[in-house]
Parts: sequence; C-alpha cells; structure tokens
Amino acid sequence: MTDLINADLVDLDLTGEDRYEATALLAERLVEAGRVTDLDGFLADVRAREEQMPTGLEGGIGIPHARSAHVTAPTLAFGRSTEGVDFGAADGPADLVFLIAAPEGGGSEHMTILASLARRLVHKEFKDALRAAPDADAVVALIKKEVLEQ
Amino acid sequence: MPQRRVTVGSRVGLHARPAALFVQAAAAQDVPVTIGKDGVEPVDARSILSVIGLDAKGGEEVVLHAEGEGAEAALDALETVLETDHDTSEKPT
Repeated sequence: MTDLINADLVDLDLTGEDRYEATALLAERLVEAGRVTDLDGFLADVRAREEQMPTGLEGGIGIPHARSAHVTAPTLAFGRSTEGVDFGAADGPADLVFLIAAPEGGGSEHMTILASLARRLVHKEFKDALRAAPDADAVVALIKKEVLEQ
Repeated sequence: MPQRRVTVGSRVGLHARPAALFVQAAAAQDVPVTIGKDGVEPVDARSILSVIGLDAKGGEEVVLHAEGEGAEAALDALETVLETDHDTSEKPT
C-alpha cells in the first residue's frame, strides 16, 4: 500500500487566515499526490466534520480529518505554522496541523492512526521534535518512527 | 474506589467528536475521573489526547474510575455519554 505520509505531504511553512484556508492548502498537496480526486468535495467533507466540533486540541494541535468518497488512500498531511492557526482549541491556536484523509467505506484504520498520533502528542518531546525538525524528510522520518511503527 | 465498566456506544469508537463530547462531560464533573481499558493504564478523562490515544473502539468495554464526594453521580453521567451513539444522526468521522 502507499505510504501514509511522505515529504510532498509536509508543509513546514503553513499559512492561512483560518483553519479552512490552512486545511485547503494541505489538501492541495493531497490532490497533487493523487490521494484526493476532488478538492472542493473533499474540503466540504472536512468542513462538515469541523463544524460538528472543532478539531483543535490542547497544546497547539489541530487535527482536521474526514472520511470522504474523494479520497483514494489513507493519507496524513502535516503542516507547521509559525503564526498559528485557530482550530478552536480553548488554549489557543495550533502550530502543528495534521490532516487525516480516509477513503469512504474504509475500515477504522484512520482512527487507529489518530489514536497512535494522539498517544505521541501527549509527550512534549514529540511535539518539540516536530517543531525543531529541519526539513520535510526529518518530519516524515519522525512520524514514521514515532507513530507508525508503534 | 468507585468504578464502572461501560461499553462504548459510538460506532466509530471513542475518537474525535465522541471523545471530545466525553472529555467535555468529564471536565464538568466535580471529581476527577480516569478512563482505561483492560491491560491499559488509566488516563485522565479530561485530556482529549489521552482519551483519543486509548483507541477505544465501538462496542469495546472501558473502565471509569472516580473518587470522592459525588463519584457515583459523575460515573452515572459519564456512563450515559459513553453509551450514547453520537454517530446515529450524522455521517461518521
């Protein structure tokens, strides 16, 4: 199967006025990578999820995600924002953003990914390492080692 | 210490939105509550990351613990939240 994440799916200079813009920028990478077939359709699905309840988590994290018919393979995209993007968390904006995309009708695999990611994000060391990673390859290596091989 | 075994009602499991609703409810209680699974160290029920990290699936059993005055009431409230299928009216995420 295709890798969950690769360097093309990492944006270390994520911008965007709000979470929808930031999510759209990450989603464009999924389109370019052939993981999403319809950008607007996919973003509508993410937005529907986000409007149910914001996905901002404590400690500067945003995890927009959706299961969508426009997704071809389970994919994780990562964005790091200097300014921070408001994902609705009570303790402030997110500078670490993970976009999780899963195909419609897929199993619970993306939830397992989410859980594994969450277990690592509890630890400050992992967040610090993501914030300090020098390039996209380093981020991919870190996520693969800490999240996917657990 | 009062404890309660509860089966997770949300089909997608205790993730994302169902987890957030549970954490909100836990934070609203008068006493601290922990949540765990068999063989897994209990975590603070008010921490969304910890709760998502439990990876409790729909239909899986979790164990709630609470201590102090009002512990039973807190467990009652959280049991209701956990048993509810929060996915019925919407698209699962």
